[in-house]
Amino acid sequence: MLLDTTSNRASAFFSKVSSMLILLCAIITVQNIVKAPNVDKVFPANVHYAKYKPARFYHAFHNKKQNYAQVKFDLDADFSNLWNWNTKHVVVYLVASYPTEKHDVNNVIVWDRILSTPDESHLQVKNALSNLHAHPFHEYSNDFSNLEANYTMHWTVSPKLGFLAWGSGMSSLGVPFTKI
Amino acid sequence: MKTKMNFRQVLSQVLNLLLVLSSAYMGYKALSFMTDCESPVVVVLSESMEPSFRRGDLLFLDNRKPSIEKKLEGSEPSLWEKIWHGSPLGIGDIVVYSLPHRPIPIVHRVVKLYESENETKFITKGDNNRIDDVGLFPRPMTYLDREKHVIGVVRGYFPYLGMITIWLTDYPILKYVLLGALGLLTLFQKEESS
Repeated sequence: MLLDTTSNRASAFFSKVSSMLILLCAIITVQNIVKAPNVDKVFPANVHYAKYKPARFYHAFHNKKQNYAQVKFDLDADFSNLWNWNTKHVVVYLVASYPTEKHDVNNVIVWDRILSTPDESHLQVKNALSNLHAHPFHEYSNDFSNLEANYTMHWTVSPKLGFLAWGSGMSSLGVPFTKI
Repeated sequence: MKTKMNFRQVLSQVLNLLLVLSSAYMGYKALSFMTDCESPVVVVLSESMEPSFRRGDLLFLDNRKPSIEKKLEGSEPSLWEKIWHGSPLGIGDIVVYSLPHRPIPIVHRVVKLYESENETKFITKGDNNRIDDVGLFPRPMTYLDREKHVIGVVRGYFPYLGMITIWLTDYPILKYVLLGALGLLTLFQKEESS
């Protein structure tokens, strides 16, 4: 390989750098899959109540009148194990899960938070209310009566490069919906 | 004599370039088959998913729909198994979907998911948006359908690399500059000993 002309040197340099970068990205991606972090200290959410009433929200559901539910809950969960050098941030969300006649599994996010540093990854939330503006909790059939929901913490790990990882914690006990 | 050799060398360089381009295209199509997805690689165009995805990031999609039975058997599968076999759409997953009246597909997170044996309906919301996406749907439609609207589910991520596509679209003159540069490179490489 002649390295005396500038263009030869430049092209050799660039091809070496690009193949090294591709190899590095491949290693990071594979390493992301292999090392599987274990989240063990995620306690099930402690839900105080789930109340619903009909309402009309301009920002939700084409301004149609619907039954909307609000949930009051406590959280105690430690996501510090999910953090490593390849983690950009962790998105955690509280999911209400219940079966209905029409659908075997209904999953609705009622509250979410983005954890940007390992320090804020130990969630200890007391008496929080679900966010009706961002997550208006309605039912597909618009009928909350005789339904009971389990509440579970789910999370998604956003990497700096590579595959996304997702998982969930233990479910809480069933909480029925009560009409206000 | 010299011009004939030059012509052959130019032709061989052009052939090399075509080989590289067609291999890249084959790789893209192969990925498309493996993930059952029409466009397995997309570029993020809006800021509605910040801070997870910024404008110019590259996303790798997966549109395979393994049956729910696989999800129920045994304990939670490892990340490798989820990637190898595909994973059904779950709550909190980020999907790329297209609406009939909008040209650009939308990349948002699933916030409400309603699954039954024969249909899966859901609602999405961008992390950086204050309200969910129902306002974007054409009037009578209030749910997205897994079969009809979804292009793929986001499973992989590469930062910044998609900025090239954005620059090429925003400044179309760059396309001609790039093609011209590639052309010049193939012509001038005849000095190499290969």
